[in-house]
Amino acid sequence: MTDPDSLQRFLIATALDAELRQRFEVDPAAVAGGLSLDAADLEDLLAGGERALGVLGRAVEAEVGGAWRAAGGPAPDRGAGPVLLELPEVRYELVIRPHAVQHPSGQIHLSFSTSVRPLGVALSAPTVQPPAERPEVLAAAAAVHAADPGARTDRLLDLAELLEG
Amino acid sequence: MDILIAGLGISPSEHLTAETERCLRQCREVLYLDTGPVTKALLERLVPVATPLYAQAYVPGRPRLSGYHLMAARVVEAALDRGPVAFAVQGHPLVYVHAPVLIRRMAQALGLEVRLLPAISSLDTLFAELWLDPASEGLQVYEATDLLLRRRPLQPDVPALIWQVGNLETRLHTTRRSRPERLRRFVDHLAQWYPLDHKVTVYFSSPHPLVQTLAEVVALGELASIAGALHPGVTLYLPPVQRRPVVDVALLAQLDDPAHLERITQG
Repeated sequence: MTDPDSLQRFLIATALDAELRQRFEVDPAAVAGGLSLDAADLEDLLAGGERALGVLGRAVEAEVGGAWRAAGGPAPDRGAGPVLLELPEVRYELVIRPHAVQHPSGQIHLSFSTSVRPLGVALSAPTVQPPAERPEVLAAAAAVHAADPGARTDRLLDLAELLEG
Repeated sequence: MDILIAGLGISPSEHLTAETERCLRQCREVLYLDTGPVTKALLERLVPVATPLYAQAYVPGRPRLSGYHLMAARVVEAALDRGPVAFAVQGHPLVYVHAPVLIRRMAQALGLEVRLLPAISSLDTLFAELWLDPASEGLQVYEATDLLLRRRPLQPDVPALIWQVGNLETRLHTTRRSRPERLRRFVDHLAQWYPLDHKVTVYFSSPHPLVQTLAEVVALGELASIAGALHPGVTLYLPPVQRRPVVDVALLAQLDDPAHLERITQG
């Protein structure tokens, strides 16, 4: 029986491979979603599969991690042990659509159409605080949750007043 | 999804979309803002409980804004108690409706998920009934009181729609009819760009198959004489006074030129 994790890895690698090849033919510069790659990386990328995924991982580390460190990062804390640092995520939307054809012999032929779209990298915090995150709004929301069901109307009207405008 | 925000169209028995109907069926209750004769029965066919909000939200003499707050509070409260629930309004839920905006903000603060669906607005019915295509001359859309507050300029060569003439110069709710004097400042403002004999259309889209659409043509200078008929649902359509001539004749010449197409496209 096929290991589900292996199958998933295979599908993702296959999908990325097909998608990246296709995109490279149209626009080599955009092949890694805007990440800058040297010639060796591009060769590995075109080789597909695990090598391509490795290139993507290194490129993301260089671009995202580098930019994040350049933006400041946390102050070094030499006295303490290693800590897990929060890094920004790079998000791709990967859509895999399976297609199955059953032949008269009973054999089923499975294929996949795929698409991959970079969803961007968020390096900086939003400059304007969303209304729902203002302290007074958070307090009013907490008051709504704390109120007894059926007696929430006044608290909700307070919240509505705060969020007006 | 905790809260569905949907529009019923202008004539709910005819305009309710298949998408809205399907999503409403997933809700335990629909709180709605419409006074149409068939709306409650229509909604009860789709949702176990249909709760009208109009009477408690719109109180004569009170600010309409407090009515919007009450609607939003009722909808969010229902979602917290017994979601998923729906909030349904006549028309499109984001065309001249404020409560959905508030519901969305409150839902974000409370960790609730909101989905909003498109619907037929009076803008759509107006396009169809007045044969107005905004591609031809463009379109200006303004709220009547906002037009005066900001002294917004108008372009007389672009069709203009002025919403909520019946709510002119007040944020308090009333069902009283307008006096002719109420229109004075409004007509004076428009007269800066339109001649007083310019023919405008007073438009109100039919909310029910048995009710006729109102589309009465009147001179701008005579608008005050029908002030009593200008209820809050009425929209004023001002056709262009004249057509704006083409200025860039060089570009005009290129529009049908294959060589120009070649230059501005690739592949």
